[in-house]
Amino acid sequence: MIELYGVTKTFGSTVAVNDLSIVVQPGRVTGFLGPNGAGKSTTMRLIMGLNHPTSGTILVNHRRLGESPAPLCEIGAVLDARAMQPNRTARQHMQILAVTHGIPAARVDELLAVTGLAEVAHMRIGSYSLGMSQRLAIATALLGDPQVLIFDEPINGLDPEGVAWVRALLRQQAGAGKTVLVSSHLMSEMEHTADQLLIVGRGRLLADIGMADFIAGASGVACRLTSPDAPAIVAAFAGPGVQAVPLHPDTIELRGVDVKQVAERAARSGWIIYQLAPVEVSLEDAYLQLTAGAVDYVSGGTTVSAGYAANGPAWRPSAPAQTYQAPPAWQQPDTYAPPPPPPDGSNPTGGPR
Amino acid sequence: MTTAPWHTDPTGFSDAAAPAQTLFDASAVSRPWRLSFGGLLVAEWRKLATMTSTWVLLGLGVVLGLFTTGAGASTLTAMNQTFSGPAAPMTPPIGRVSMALVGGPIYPGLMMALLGVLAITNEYSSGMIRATLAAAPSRWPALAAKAVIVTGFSFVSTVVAEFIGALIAWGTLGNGVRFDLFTPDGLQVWFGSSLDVTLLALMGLSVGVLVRGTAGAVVTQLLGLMLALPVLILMIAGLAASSGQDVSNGMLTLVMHCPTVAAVFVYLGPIVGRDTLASVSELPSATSAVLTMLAWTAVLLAGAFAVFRRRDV
Repeated sequence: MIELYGVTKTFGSTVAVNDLSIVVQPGRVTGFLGPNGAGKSTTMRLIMGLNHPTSGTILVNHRRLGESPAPLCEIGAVLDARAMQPNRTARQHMQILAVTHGIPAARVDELLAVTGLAEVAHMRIGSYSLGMSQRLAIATALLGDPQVLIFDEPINGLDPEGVAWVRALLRQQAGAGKTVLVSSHLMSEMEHTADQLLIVGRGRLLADIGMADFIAGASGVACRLTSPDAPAIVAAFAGPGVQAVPLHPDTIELRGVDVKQVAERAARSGWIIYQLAPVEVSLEDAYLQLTAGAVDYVSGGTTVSAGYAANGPAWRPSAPAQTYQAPPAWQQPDTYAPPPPPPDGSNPTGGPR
Repeated sequence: MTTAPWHTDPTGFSDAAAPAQTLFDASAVSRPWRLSFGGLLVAEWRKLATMTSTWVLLGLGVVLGLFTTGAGASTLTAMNQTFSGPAAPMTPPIGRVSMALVGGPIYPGLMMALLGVLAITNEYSSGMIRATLAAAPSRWPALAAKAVIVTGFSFVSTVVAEFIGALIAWGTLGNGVRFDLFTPDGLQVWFGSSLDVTLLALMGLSVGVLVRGTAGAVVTQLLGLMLALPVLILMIAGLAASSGQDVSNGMLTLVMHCPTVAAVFVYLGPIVGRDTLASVSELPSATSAVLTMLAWTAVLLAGAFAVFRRRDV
């Protein structure tokens, strides 16, 4: 089990993790989702004790990792597949770590065999492909048969069989009662693997939700339209259960409203609509919407919280985010921005030590 | 092993088949494995032994050390011939093999300092440090184990190499030269210079921890601390003297406390004669030279431990 209580990590004036409190439960695969730069990797390094939190408490299996008599048996991590000396062989690398805990050499060979590296175990790690390095990193993480496994983007560089293998491994480990935390920036990776989702954006927790609930909440009607009257249309449909997402200056996506409603209302109101199409809300969309900072229109269509979508990753291939320029009236102070510096100019949180 | 489960059985883990049950166990309490300092020592030794640079530096240190010892021996031979000629008024004044070691530790000192630097900067540059600290998250034991291994390796290798160097010098010098390594004077030269090399290696390790980057640490340790520092002080002394100030004595004392300069006085006494050294008041005694070396090492090592404990990697 992993517990984070009020964990904040700043690098200079950048807030990488902002008051994050989460509990990752054993016996299931927890997906750790968020766009690039959301603080996933930093959080994982904090859990491993590689970075120290600016404030807050992190517990692994109910104690600080440094207090464990056998850290390799508490937690295993795949954070960076290239974090090993390239001149050593895979067997040397694993045995160096195994010997710190008195783990027998036979287990090293077993794990190398299970990860398909037995035949290349005597070769220099420097000659490995990214996929082979990734397998070695996974084998190394499993060395102490740890109760907690954390994987940062584990399927990077793996072939399709490797991806299937990693997914099976995650499920098998969770099934054996272990705590499994897997990060990704793609919802599609989590769809068939994770039982629980932790969604973060700009270092904050956006959602802690079961996969089944997330799927149930994601379904619904939506349409996309291009119109010079877009603000008026948004204002007309504003209400509970309705969300508007600007894709382009004149193009918006309306959630909770179907094509028929828009067409009928347009005929009565005399709106000009260049394009109107139904949209299937997928899990990917629901996730992107969350991390986009959920653009909500409050009554009157004047108050908008423009979030991550304005400068974040592409909303979807047909409407690259970089082409989107939010009209000035829609812009709002960024809810995830770090607090402004105090008037006296001091740095209240301090730099990394 | 011809079957690669990765490819032939991608979902092998979902079966409750052979490997899953023996390799993975739901209850960690059944695992007897524990982190131990002995384990960390073995791991650090294997890390050092599997680094190519370790053996290159050792080889260079031994070869250059033997070369300077050989040069010392041939100088002794030449001097002895001068003194033992038909007209010589007395017996050869230079007749001890430890004298050939006078320049012996200089190059090994450089090489082992570099080895100390690389022992830690290699981990930072490769990212291995993250695996190291995952196994030892409390951190200090990992650095302590590395310091012990660097100490042991540099000390033992220097003691052995100097003994071999002394044997070769003894054979070269021939009759009339005493093999004195096991006398108090010989032991001071032999083990004193080996201690120097060891402390320089520990300083290198400390600078490596503090600076992290290989290039930066090498420049700081070798060029800055070991080579440039005394020269820099002398340059400042020269400038001060040229402007009419009398600072030479204070500056000379500072120079005597630079690591590489103090290192020489740890073992120079028995070679040039303790009385000769003592007659120059500015030159440090062996005791004060050893204390200077220990102080440098202690300060740098303490800084390294303090930083290593808290810094993000």
